[in-house]
Order: sequence, then C-alpha cells, then structure tokens
Amino acid sequence: MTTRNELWQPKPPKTHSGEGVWQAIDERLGLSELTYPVPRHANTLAYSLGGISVIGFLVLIVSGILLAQYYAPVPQFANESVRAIMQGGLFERIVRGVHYWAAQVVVLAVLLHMLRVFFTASFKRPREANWVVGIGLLATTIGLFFTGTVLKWDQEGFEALEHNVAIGELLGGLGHWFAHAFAENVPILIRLYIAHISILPGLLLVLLAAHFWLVKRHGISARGARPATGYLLFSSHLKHLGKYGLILIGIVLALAVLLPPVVGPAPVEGIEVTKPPWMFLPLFAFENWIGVAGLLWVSVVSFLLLALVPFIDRSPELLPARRRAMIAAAIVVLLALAGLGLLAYLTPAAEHVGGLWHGLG
Amino acid sequence: MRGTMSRAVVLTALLVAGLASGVLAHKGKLPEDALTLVRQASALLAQNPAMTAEVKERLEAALKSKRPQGVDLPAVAAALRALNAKDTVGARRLLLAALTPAGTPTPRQSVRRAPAPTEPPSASIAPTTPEQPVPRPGDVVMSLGEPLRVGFARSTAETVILSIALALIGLGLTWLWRSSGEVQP
Repeated sequence: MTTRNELWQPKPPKTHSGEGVWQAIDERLGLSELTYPVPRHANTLAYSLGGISVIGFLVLIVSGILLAQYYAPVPQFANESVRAIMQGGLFERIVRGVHYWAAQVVVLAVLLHMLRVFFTASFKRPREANWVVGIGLLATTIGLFFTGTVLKWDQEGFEALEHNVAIGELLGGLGHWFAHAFAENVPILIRLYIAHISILPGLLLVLLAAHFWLVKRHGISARGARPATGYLLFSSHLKHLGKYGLILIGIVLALAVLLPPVVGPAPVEGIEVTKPPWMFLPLFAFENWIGVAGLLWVSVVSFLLLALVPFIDRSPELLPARRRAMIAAAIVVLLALAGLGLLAYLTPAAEHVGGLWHGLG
Repeated sequence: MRGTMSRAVVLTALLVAGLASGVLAHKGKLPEDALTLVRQASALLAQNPAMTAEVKERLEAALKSKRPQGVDLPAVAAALRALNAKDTVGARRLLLAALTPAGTPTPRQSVRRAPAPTEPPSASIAPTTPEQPVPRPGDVVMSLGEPLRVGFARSTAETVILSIALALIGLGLTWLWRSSGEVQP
C-alpha cells in the first residue's frame, strides 16, 4: 500500500504574465535549472580560467569549422592546402591565425586552471571525481593540440606523427590504431583528421558536460579557509566570463594579424630537424635522455600521478602553508618541467626515430 | 616553508643537471636506397644546416649504397666535400643537382617518364616535379621546400581587423575594471 508521500506529484506549470523572452524560453527549456549561486571570488581571473578555456574552445570550434572548408586532409595536398590558406585571402589567413593562437591560449588556460585547482586544494572531498574528469579534459585538450599539429602536414607535424607511431609500436596492440596496417587504404592523416574534428571534440563535450554537472552539484569551491561571504547570480558570472571572452578574442585576433602562424616545409620522412611545440618541450628532454620510450612512460606516469592527486593529498587542509609536502612536490615538478623545457629549447634538434619507416601517408 | 622551498629548488637543479648530462641522440636505422638518403640529407640541410653530422652520415651511406639508382653519385661526393669545407650552400646546390640528373632512370620511372627538369623542385610541393616519383595514394610527399612565413603587411584590411581586436581588448578591460567591486568579498 502506497502512502500519499510516495506518489509522484507533477509540478504545476509556472504561470508567467507579461514576462520577457527569457522567462518564455526558460518555461519551455528549463534553462534556469542549470544555474547555481556563484561566490564572489568566482569572478576573479584565477577562478575564471576554466570558463576562459571553454570560451577558447568555442572560438576553436567556430574557426575550425571555417578552416575545414579550405583544408584538404590527404597527404598529397594537406601541406599545399595550408599554404594556400595562408597565401590566399585575408579571411582564410585570419581564421587560421585565430585557430592557431586560440589553441595556444586554451592549452595555457587549461594548465593554469589545473594549477589553480591544485594550489587552492579545490580537488578535495567531495570534488575528487571532478579532478579526475578534469585530468581527462587536459589529456583530450593535449590530444586535440597534437592532432592539430599533425594536420599541417609540415616537417614538424610529420615528425610528431612519427613519434606517435613509434610510441604506438611500443604499446603493441594498444597502439595499433596508429599503425599503417590498421586501415591500409586510409592514410593516418585522414584518421587523425577525423579524430581532430569529431572523436576528440565529442569526447571533450561529454567530459565538459560531466565537469559542469559536478561543479553545479558541489558548487564552486571556497577560496582558502575563508567561507564565502556573498553569492552572485549565475548570470552575473556569465557576464563576467563574457568580459574575459572579449579580451581573449581580441588577443587572438590581434596575434592572428600581427603574427600569422608559419607553415613548415612539406615533410620528408625519416629525418628529425624540428623540436616539438612548447608544451611538449620537457618531454623532448626526456626523449633525448632515454629515447622514444621516455615520451611514453613519462606521459603515462605524469597523468597517473595527476589523477591520483586527490587520493594522495587527503587531508582536509586547504591552505598551502598546511600542505607543505604536496606544495613542495608540485614546485619541484614545475621547476623541473621549466628547467627541462629550457634545456630542450637550448639543445639542438636530434634524431630519435629517424629511419623507422611507417608508411605514414 | 622557506627551508622546504630551498630543498625543492636544489632537488630540481640536480634533476635537470642529471638529465642534461645524459643528453644522447637515439635513432633507428637509415634507409638503404641512395635516393631517399640524399633527399633526407638535402631536406636536413635546407631546414637545419647545423645538423651537418646527420647530413654527412646520410651522404656517406648514399655513396656506399647498393641501390644508387636515381642519384648522381659524383655530385653527392662533391656535396660531401663541400660540406667538409663548411660550404653548406654549395653542398645543398650540389645535392639538388644530384637528385636531378638528366636522363638518369629513377626507381619508379616505369610509372611515369618525363623530361629532365630545368629548375630545382618547387618549394611548396615536390612530387609533381618531373624527376621525382609520382605520388601514389598513401605516399609521403617528399619535398625540399622552405617554411612559409606570412607577415603583417599593414594593409587597410589588416589595420581595420587589428583595430577591432584592440577595441575588444579595451572594451573587455574597461568592463572588468568597472565591475571590479563585485569581485571583492
């Protein structure tokens, strides 16, 4: 026998008389269900880095769709089509410049966002799962950056792919997707293009949805040990992010005009003359040290350690001064990465996978 | 906290120094045919002239190759001599000549026969040049190209776009400054 409390009761429809368009839309789509109160500190730059990354992703999606109209993802014409974009109309050149610079800004913003979350201990209970989702987002972002680098099909991109194929061989069956034998009639470039425009963005959207949902569920974390003193409407937070978005768009547009990205020469297989993009430079030092296997194992160990952070640092302390061991470890890692990056920047390009023939076209 | 920081910095310096001392190149086997070796050497010279050791290694391998088809070996030897004399520009010119010997059969000449070229290969995309193999689907495009750098030309359109970009930055900063009071707890 069911009691009255156990019976599902439909909510009565909200009645709006003479409200604006927003209420009319909200009544039908329930968008206000997605909002939540936001503490004041969420509008600071440090706490807006996640939102800035999302705005950057939106810029990348729009510019990427436009770029796809001019890009030929086949080995014979890929480099030529990128050159044509840069030598053609101003519109195409600006779109590619915006895409390139927005990608740099997004990677930087995502990394800084992760550091902010780490140093403010925002990953602690009950937000451990969201930290892990965030690490997944970081990996997907790097995957998008990597595949984008390869798509240029210049010497730098080709060498990046050669490294990935070499890593795929180290992984055996797990790396089969990167082998020519996976689909002999389809060049890897086309498969990476598919990954860049559909597989990875799809994964990113799923992870972003999970990330947002968990942020809404747990709320934006407190700043330090101080409890939040006042909350703002979600719309206020969105407006504030919009201001950062204007600055971001202005910066990438200015960089696209002033510093258009270079297109390297069409690739020659079997040589290594370039160095990786800036975020991979520390890995380049490891590669110099222990070979291609270094790239694989350092990456795997790094991401595993990152994912384990909430399970290692389990104390309830939020202040850095009370988390000395974790903060010191993070500083060691950051300084080491900076040092290795600088070392790789100063070290001449060296051959690591030269002569490995993969049939990458 | 300061002591912890100091220890962290020292540990980092030791780690980086340790890695720096171990800098070694790791590479696989070189290809066996002279044509590929000389193409690689030429591309290396074009893109990173400092990598002379790698270039010499390939040229020496090309001279000893059992598959010398498609390459003018005397020109390769001359390029190697030029490289030893630190004349990288001359070496590159000689390598281009070594790759374009008039009337010399190429490995895939059965696929396409064409007259000898009068100019070096195109900078942007090479496979269409007569002396080089016709690219099959899946072939890696071989090119002796140069990077393409497009700069700010100060055209009217570019100036307008740049002005819009700066206006967006200014607008965003102004709005942020005006609402800075909302952020303070």
